Amino acid sequence: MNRDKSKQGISILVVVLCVAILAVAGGFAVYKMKKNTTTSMVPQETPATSMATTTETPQASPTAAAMTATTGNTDADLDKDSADVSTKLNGLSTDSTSIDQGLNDQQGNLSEN
Amino acid sequence: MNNKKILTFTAQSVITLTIFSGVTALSLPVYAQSPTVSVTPGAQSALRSQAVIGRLKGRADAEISRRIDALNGILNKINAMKRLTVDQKTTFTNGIQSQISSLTSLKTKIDVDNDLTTLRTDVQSIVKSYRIFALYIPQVNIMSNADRALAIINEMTTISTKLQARIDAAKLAGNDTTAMQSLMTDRASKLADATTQAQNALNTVVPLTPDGYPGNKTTLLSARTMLQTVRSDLKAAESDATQIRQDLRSMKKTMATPTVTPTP
Repeated sequence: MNRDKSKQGISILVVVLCVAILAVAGGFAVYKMKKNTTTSMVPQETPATSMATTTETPQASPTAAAMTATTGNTDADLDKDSADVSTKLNGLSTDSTSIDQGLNDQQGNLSEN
Repeated sequence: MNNKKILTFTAQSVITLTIFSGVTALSLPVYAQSPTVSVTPGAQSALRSQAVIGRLKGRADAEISRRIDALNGILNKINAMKRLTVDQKTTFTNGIQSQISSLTSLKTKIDVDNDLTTLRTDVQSIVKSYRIFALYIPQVNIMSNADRALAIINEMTTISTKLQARIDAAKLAGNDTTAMQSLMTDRASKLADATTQAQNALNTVVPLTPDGYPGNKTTLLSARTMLQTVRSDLKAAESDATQIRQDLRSMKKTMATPTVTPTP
């Protein structure tokens, strides 16, 4: 009787241990996978951030346009200058819509009815 | 059984209350608009006045807020401009600030107006002051657009210098640069015209004052046309630069090909 009880106890212990091992292994695997995902995502995020910075900079100070031309005259410098100018020209066109809006403005309804 | 009765009673009460409150809510605006139920003629007229006062106040507040927001927007544009003198900036800023203060005071007054005649007079002053707003908004936007255009022209002139240096170097290396030089001439002429037009747009609108509105609207329209020319000039000049850069690149490739530069 006692033997049976101890056998039962041992088998329960074995089952519990197996579950614990599986849990630890599973946790480790998940941790590893997450770590890999994070490291592989980093380089993807970096260019996106730097692109946002470079495209926003000229818009932030549109009046300081003369300051933004690059100093060199290599193909790469000229390409960058051209991209900057294109962005500013687009901004100028967008800005011009506010002139039309101002010229076409109508007084709000101030009638009594 | 008792519980069932209580539940039935509660449900009936809730339904009755809901229907009653719905009917009351629906009938309220009707009552406000047509107080013919049991109101004396004097009270009826007072109610009408109150309704007109409410409507006028709402419309006046909305118009004043719209103008104040727009005027604050152009104040920021004036501060960002590089080609206005300090005196010109001060004149515009003071004029706009004064208009904002005047509208703010008017709004405060209108909010406490309880007499329809006084309110009508106050609302009339919003109508009369419209010409100030109607001039400032397009005027400052034109000045700001011209200012931005002139800054871009400066940058494009710097780029022209670099392009010219590259063309000169290509010519020294024995390349035919005639086409590129012709594009440079066109670019220079477009930039010169854009400068003149932008400067003229700026010069013509700066002296305009609200007293001259709406007579001076034609000047604003003419300045707008000048700025349209500026933008089209700048696009053409940029297109020239793109073509020059492509030509320079293809020249480089030809020069790099061994067959073009055979050894003696």
